Amino acid sequence: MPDVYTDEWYDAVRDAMNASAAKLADLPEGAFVVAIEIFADGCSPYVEEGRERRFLARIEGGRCAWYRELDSAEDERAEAGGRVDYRFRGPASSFDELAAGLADPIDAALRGTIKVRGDIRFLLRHADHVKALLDAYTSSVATTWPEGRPPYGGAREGGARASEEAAAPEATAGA
Amino acid sequence: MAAMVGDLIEANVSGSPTRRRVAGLELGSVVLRSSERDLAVTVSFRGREVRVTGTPEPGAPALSGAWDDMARVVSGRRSPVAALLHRELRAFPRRPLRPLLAAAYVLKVPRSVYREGGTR
Repeated sequence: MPDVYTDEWYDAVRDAMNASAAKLADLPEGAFVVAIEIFADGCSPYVEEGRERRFLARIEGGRCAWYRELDSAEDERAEAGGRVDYRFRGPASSFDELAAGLADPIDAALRGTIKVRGDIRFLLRHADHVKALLDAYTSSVATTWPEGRPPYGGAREGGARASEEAAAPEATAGA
Repeated sequence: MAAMVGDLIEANVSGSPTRRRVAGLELGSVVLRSSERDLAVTVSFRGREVRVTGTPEPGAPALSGAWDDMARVVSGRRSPVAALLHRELRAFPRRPLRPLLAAAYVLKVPRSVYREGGTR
């Protein structure tokens, strides 16, 4: 079993996503790039306080072509070919809970725990495909947690920030 | 959910003059309820703007259903009439009805979006 957030784990996640997508009849055409930003919340041991972990994934023809972590010096847009179509951002403990299969990613997105940016209309159109990829991410890879496994006890130092970002109770659109 | 519904409406009205006109003419509120997740938002038509808030407005007409079913309807994979007939979605129409119809129209993604953006 790979340790979480290692190259072996990224490969296992990619393979699990592709195995899940292979079962679907109607995969979206084309390619898009997803950026994932995981910020420290004082609770997860996998993101140092004051730091972020950044990931990029490229989906081509419904399959995950690659999924990898960027180091702090890497330029996201250059690595993504100049285009990021979707961005997921949230606190580390929430992402850890997703990876451990303890939380539902759709629920986290709808409740604002994890922010989603990008054209929501295509995510809705391909909701079954998105669900298959997320289910693979959350449930298909047996993972070891060398620094401890979620859920984490105790209060979060960054809890106020996390819940503040999660609140976002209002949105307006000009008519 | 409020942010997602807000993003959806913003994208729809900015790309569709007809939806923008409908949203601009309407006054009133509609509650959208994700029944399986105990989440609800209120879409309020205020003439020049549409406001989406993360709390249900008491007494407003409502559309309720599982998030997956709502996603199928707004993205054109399922007819709203069929979804209502098969009780995948439920409408709780209290007067006035117009905001409910306006919300259904403004939320539905124009077919042209998927034709033009078919590469994603």
